[in-house]
Amino acid sequence: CTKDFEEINTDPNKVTSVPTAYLMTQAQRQILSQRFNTTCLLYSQLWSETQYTNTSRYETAEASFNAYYYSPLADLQKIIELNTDEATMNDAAASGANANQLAVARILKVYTFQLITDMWGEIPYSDALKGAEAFQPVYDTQDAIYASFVTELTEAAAQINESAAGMEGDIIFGGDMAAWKKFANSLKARVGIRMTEVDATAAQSAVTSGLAGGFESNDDNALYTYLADAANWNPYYDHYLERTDYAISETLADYMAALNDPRLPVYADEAPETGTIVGMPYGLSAADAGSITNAQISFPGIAVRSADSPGILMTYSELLFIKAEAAARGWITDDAAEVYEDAITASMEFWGVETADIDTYLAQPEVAYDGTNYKKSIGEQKWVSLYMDGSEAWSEWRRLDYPELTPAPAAAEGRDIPRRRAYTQNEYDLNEENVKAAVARQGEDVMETRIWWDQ
Amino acid sequence: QTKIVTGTVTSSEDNLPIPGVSVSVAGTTLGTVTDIDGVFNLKVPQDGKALVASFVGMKTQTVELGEGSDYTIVMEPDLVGIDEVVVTALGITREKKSLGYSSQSLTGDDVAAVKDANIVNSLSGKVAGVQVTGSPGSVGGSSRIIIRGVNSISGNNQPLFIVDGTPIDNSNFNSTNTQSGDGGIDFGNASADINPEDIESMTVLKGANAAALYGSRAANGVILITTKKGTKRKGIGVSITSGVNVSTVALLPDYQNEYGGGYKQTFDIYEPTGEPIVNYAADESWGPRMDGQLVRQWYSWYPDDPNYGKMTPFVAHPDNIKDFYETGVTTNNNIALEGGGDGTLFRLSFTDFRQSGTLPTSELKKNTISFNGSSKLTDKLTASASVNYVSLTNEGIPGQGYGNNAGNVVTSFNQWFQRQLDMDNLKNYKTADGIDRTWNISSPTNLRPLYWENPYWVLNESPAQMERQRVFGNVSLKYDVLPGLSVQGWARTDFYTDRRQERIASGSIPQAWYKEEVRQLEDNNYEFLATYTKEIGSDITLDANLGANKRIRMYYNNTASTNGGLSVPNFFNVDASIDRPSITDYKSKKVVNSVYGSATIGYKNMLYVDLSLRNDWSSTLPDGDNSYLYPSVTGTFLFSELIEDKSILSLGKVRASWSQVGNDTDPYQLAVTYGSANNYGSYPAYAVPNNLNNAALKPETITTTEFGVEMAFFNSRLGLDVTYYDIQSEDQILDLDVASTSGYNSTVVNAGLMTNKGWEVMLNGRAIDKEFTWDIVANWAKNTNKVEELAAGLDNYQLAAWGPSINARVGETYGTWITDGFVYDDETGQRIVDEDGYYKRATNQTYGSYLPDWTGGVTNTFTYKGVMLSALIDFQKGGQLYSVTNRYGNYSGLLAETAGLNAKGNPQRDPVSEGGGYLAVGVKEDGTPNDVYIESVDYWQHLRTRREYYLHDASFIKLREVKVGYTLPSKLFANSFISGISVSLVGRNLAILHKNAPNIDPEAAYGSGNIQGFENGQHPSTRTMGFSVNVKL
Repeated sequence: CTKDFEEINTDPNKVTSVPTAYLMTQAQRQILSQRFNTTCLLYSQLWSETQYTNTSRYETAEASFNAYYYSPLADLQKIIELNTDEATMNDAAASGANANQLAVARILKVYTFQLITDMWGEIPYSDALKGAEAFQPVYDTQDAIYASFVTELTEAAAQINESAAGMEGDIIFGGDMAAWKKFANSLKARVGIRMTEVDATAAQSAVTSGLAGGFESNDDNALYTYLADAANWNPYYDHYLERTDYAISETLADYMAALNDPRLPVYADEAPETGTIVGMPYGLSAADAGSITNAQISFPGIAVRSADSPGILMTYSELLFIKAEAAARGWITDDAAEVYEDAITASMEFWGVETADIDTYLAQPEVAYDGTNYKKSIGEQKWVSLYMDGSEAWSEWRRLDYPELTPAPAAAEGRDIPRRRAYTQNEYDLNEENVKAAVARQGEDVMETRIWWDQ
Repeated sequence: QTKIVTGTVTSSEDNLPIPGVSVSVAGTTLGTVTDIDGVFNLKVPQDGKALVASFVGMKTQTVELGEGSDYTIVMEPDLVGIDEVVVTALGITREKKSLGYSSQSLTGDDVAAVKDANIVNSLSGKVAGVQVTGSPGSVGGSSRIIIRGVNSISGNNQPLFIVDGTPIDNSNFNSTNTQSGDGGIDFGNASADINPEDIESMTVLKGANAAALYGSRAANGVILITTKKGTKRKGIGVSITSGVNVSTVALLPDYQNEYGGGYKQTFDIYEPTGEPIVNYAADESWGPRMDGQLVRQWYSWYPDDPNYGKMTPFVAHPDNIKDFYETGVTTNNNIALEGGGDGTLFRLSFTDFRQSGTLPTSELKKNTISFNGSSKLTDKLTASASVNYVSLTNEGIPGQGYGNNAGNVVTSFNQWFQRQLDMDNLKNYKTADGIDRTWNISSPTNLRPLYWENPYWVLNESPAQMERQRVFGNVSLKYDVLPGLSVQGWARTDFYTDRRQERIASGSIPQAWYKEEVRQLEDNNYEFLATYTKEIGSDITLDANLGANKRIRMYYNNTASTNGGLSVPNFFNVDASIDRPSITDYKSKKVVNSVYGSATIGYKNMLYVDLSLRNDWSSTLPDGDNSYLYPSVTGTFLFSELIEDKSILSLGKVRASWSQVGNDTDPYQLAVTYGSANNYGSYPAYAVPNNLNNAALKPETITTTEFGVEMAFFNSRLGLDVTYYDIQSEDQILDLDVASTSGYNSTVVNAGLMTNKGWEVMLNGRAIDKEFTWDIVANWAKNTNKVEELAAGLDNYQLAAWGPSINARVGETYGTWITDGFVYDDETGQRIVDEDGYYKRATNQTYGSYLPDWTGGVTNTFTYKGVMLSALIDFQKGGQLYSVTNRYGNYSGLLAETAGLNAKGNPQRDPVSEGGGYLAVGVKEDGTPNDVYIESVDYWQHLRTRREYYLHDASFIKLREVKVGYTLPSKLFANSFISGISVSLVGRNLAILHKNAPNIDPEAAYGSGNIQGFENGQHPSTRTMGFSVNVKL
């Protein structure tokens, strides 16, 4: 009388196989939703908290990277498995040529893993995502992880077959494999530039090879398009429906206003009380922040908090800033000043600024490229242009140490601007030996410890 | 050859006849019950030796049969239950003294008199080893009951409820967020549907031994409920019970009433007029002193307010929160008809229960119809039916925890509030245009609610509600094959539909929203049982059972909720969803087939041996590993039978038992599947699950060993029952957390070993036994739980977290807290303070478990001439409770601790530079006492990340119950149609006599599952007092 038990215990609510395109859609959505974008916008002082200033006062050291792994990375890993395993690769090919799917999944893995390692330092990488084979993955050192990023992106770009079927379910590029190839190269340049302070040779090699096949215009930008329905709208649209926690930071608003930056009215709305753009002072105590009303400050502009405002993975402008730095470092022969201006121009165009206004802006002596301190010129302008790409803005500030940011005046326990986040309780509970080994190599598990490339 | 014997059974206490007494011929299955006049008629074989009369709560009486045919049997109350007859597994009535395991019985009155909406609460403090955790402030809220600690790491730990043999589902579909205090609605536990008015008796079978025959669901013990049946009588008996009680808020936090809303002690100025204004945006009370200064308060900006445009004094309203609550009223009305003639018995009962809570708008209604009937179709064939219908509606259910979708008003009152606010101004909660009028406006020129709506808005405009329609019961046929041998078959069902609706009104801070959840559960059991009773010679008795059961459980969940707002304001229908609604469409089915057998062999009413064996086949386990066999054996030795004179030692008994219970799991844990997510435009989206299933599961095993001694002394005036048990739970099936970097959060495994060892002591006695009597019943239980092992390489299983986590951690007690806290100096044991005056913070520390060290209760009962007074005090020692009310109440400067004077005698909220501030008590790194004062606000706010400070000892002593009952002398209405009247006064949760957790009730449940110990925005607990009348016609 147990002969129908197997049928009874077959789950009618779930499926045992799905097209890999469906996994890709979910993976891309989850990459965007798991990013610590707001935290990073605050750490880089592009935004300020209006009332509850805990994050901008660096109150909490720990942050969890779990969701990155069990959500987008697990889906991407599954796409790789299904396109590799001979038993499943034929079925998987219904969602695009196996090689193209593999390439897209690998590129997005690098993008995601870089977000993680840039925030925490050492992380499980080579031993991660293996399910029951390794429930307690070992941590890799960051130099090894970065070396692997370069290899992965090189191989992914190489395996793309533009004449074969592209990736289905692809929100970012709609299955355009040529675009994915440019993104792979651009990302390689990003990976490369991060290594300048610790491995100049590797940095130069990755940056120059990435630049050669990277984005060529704003049309190539890696953007995630949000839709106008509740399940798919921009999370900041959702936030401002109910709350008003974040305003443009005084640090950014004052910097831009001093240069008459035409992007400022795009980045922020006017403060109702004054009709001008007023940044929220950064990192105040509750007592001080609480005396500033919402009517006195500027909230992020409608362009960045509409239901369909895009999520930014990487832009042409960013690539040009990398190129400008490569030129400044003498790795390429282009004129650094010229590329620097191109980078600003690309950013302005991305945010819809008129050409005449761009020219006026660039003509200001304060904006001009300073070859004697390229880190300052590039650092400041790149920071402004990375508005809404918080993680990149915070990482590049950590690497270049420009702009010169002042730590939160009411920083918790007198802290400095965070250089990383700490591992969580949960990680010590579940993978104690490995996380402790990582901490032993890397330094105390606190926000002040500098990660490998941040020296 | 038979003869007819007749007789009357009366009570020794009042000489009145007792209906419903079982009278049988000793050594046979021939028997009957007395009618309404206490009269019985019985056919007795010529060789019949004696009559045995037994009745719950009375000593069993044996009367030698002689020549006569008319007997009077006088029953004596059984002071300590020596001759108590209890209902045991499979509904078999046995003398308690023959049982080889611990059980404890309650009468229907014990639970019915208290009129609690949730039957689980009625058990609190009355049974040794039973821990009840209620939610004393919420109408229809959850109550959790566990017996002898926690056996399952991740599964159900509550006992199985059985009503007349039918297993009753006690699901609790509260979300994890609700249970951990994160927020949600507490819709209560499903066994609350059982109607106390229909209960004849309850037996708590504590060990797995008692439960072996009910299968794995009974591994945590059984609450065996027998409902009232009809009795053979003349005419129709009518019983009417009416009760009413009122509940009031019994406990509110101790608030400070010196400082009002704001972040600093000065008012800001409204530039256009130069008037001082309150910081309306601040939901904290670190603001200016409430010293009567004229200021523009929030309502002065609303044109419809009488104080529009005016400044009013900034003063304290110490009773503002108290004023918010109302007096709750409960009414309970029951009418029961019963009767019976030759071979046919029935009882029909209707109960109407209505309860309004102390929170405005909450109201629960429950109607129950219960029918019990049986008919002897032939001499040998009896048909019976038991049907219960319950209709429950609970409206205006408030949000719980930190904040649900619509908000929890108590979280605002106790965690994020301005102390000067007055409820009078807030009662007018919306403008003529339907706009939310709130104190937490964005600014003078923008009246949009910032973080908190008006509390009345939330309750009136965004209510949650639920309905449950339920039928449970059974039909059966019994055939007496031979004297001593009968076979019986049952079809049983527990079937309900549970509907829940949640709303967010248009114009609220969150987007307008509606959610409807519909669950249907069907638990059907088809059961066969053969029973055989035989007396072998004059010394040996044999009772044997052979049974089979097929259980089919089907569960459906259809949930839909709107997305993107409502297309028509306040049109609460999924159709109004602007974007594609979110849908859950879930169904599951599980089948368990079982065969079992048991035998009891008795020798000279002195030695008893029980044996049982059961085999289950479960559809939830993999082919090849889905069959599991489990045995039990118990032995009882009544050594007092060896002693002739029972005047000193009236009863002496030792018992021992050993049993195993196998267990299966939930459906669909074997195969790897994908979960669906919302579409992206036309792209479907699916995800790899976060939990990795396992195709190689095997059944769980729980092994219990139990020893006990029962003794009664001095003609049964003093009784003692002591039990020791040892429970080993192995190979548990659970979703074990793994490092997420593996790609999964958790994986299903057979893991671990958890042990529970404990002592239970029951003591009862009659201190005074005259016309005035004083009885004392006390129970005490201590359980020691230890998680011995989990899986290879893994030593922690997290149950839940909201800030701190509760865990099953190897080497620790189940439910261990892990969080951050203080650093202690090795030498002085004091907290270490850093050079800036803040406590040093330690992370990842272990701080004890939410499980108590011991629990118990004492009932004192006094009677005098028909008047009965009883008082129950129950207590819990230990257990750790995490209080977010205290954490944010301090953070926000609402609680009394955060104001007043500092150690120097100056106001702590004055600046440190002027002698104010607060001194963290502790030592510096060098061991010298800390002398660095910090601002009071900094002190209280930095404790937020020293969460150890908010882990409180959950010990309590509560005056749980006081009852006064009076049965009017029957001679008052001897010649009327009335046959009996009794009245009672009952008080519940009258006082917390002792507790260690400040500002809250340490009894705080947000669900009946394993996630316990979180207190967050607790609804204030209530005190209930009431009156009830029972009239019998």
